[in-house]
Amino acid sequence: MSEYAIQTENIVKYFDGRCVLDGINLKVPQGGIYGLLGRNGAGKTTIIRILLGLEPATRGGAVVLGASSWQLPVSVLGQIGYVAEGHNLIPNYSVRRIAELYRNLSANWNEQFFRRLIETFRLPMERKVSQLSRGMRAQLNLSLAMATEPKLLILDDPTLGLDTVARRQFLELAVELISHDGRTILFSSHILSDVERLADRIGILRAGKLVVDCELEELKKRARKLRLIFDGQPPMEFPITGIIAEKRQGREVLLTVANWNENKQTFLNTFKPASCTDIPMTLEEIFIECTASGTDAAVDYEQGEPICSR
Amino acid sequence: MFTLIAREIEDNRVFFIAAAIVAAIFSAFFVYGQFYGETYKVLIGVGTIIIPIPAAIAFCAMGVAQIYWDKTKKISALLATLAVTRRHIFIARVIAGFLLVLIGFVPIAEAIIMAVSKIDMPFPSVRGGLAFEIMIPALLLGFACYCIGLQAGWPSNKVTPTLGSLGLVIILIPVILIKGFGWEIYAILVLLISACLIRAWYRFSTAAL
Repeated sequence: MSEYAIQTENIVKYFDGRCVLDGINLKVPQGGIYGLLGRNGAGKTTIIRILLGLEPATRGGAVVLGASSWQLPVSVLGQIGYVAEGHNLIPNYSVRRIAELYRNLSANWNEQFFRRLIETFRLPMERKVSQLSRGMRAQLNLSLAMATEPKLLILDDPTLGLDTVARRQFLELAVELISHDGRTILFSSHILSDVERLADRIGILRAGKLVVDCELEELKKRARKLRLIFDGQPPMEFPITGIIAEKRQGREVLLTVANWNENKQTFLNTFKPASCTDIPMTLEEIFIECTASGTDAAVDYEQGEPICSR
Repeated sequence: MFTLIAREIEDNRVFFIAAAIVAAIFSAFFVYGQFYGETYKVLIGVGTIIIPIPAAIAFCAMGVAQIYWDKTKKISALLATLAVTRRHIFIARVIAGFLLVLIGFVPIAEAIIMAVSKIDMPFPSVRGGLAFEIMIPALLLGFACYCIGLQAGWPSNKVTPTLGSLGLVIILIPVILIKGFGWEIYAILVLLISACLIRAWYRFSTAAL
């Protein structure tokens, strides 16, 4: 078995002549929690759908749990749990009926765990899916996916529509699930605090390109925000690679740099700034800097240098 | 597989119930019609020609409905994320369609055979031959119409499959009346069924769910 639960190779996807994914090389190690981030329309759902074999890639391919994603065998499908964005459960089915469907079509169904989740979320078994609130549908979808005891759990913006308490319950359940040996979670989310709390690896998509793919701690180390103050007029430009954002105000320059290393620090020192202060960045700040339009992040990526990669 | 077939039947129960009711009504009509003498012969003749038309459209509608609801409710997208492949989903769908044809056609065809046998010839000696000659093309015709609906359910235009199945019935009935039942009819229907199923499978197996 490969050390990666998911491995994509140069995935390209076009929709009606528009490039949605542009050469995605994603690697999700076994037993980890991978957070996939990106703005709306960045291609997160498309990647997930390709991984599940629901969408054909225009070029390239993916290997999921050792099998080609486009033709996943039953033995592999039975090891994957999936929570779709928008929680697309069959609307005219009752909770009981959809649970029966999952029970009969799953390779591993844990009835006890499912009952526990249903009781935790207080889901009415006889009510139709279409009559459930968005939050309840999310809870049902999570319960169904988790009760299949998946080796790989793929969650596409799962906490969307959940209140704070339900979101916390979900996160605790996800952690409980991952505590079993060798299980992997890939999830996309807009709630960065959740990702920061849960994920140990991060991937950031920007306009169909994977501009970040590394461990969270590594990302925080390598994405630097520096406040440079000069005695006189600051230099017109800083000829170093990986500048994500640059803001100037008088003698002060705020510089966000990707792939920070000692060489870049040494090079920056040659401009003789009066002071150089490191400003700690949260994941949210890194995400905003990486995905804001007009940054050079994608340009760097095109030149072969992602903002952060293993 | 049994779960998938049961799900298809349950989700399309309207068709199955309607087929069973209509089949029962027409069967009763043909059986009890024997008491009406000459009128009965005319009724059988007219009924035998007319019945296939609404039946064919109904079978076609079942195929269209399966694909339409699948796309609307994203059923296959959900099923394909469980321990089920597209092949399983497709086979279960086709089996459910064939069962509908069986439920809808067999009682009517049986009643017609019984009635025709009573009128024209001694019942026991020819019944087996008639059963084969009428039942098989009837089944194939119904299934062919279902297959037309199945493959034509993908585009939003639902007129095409309806016209397609109507056209098929309109072409086949004169062929049967002129040439009688024979291998030509079987060949036409089997070829049509194969073409429709291959096309439907190709679309289903390559489409985004």
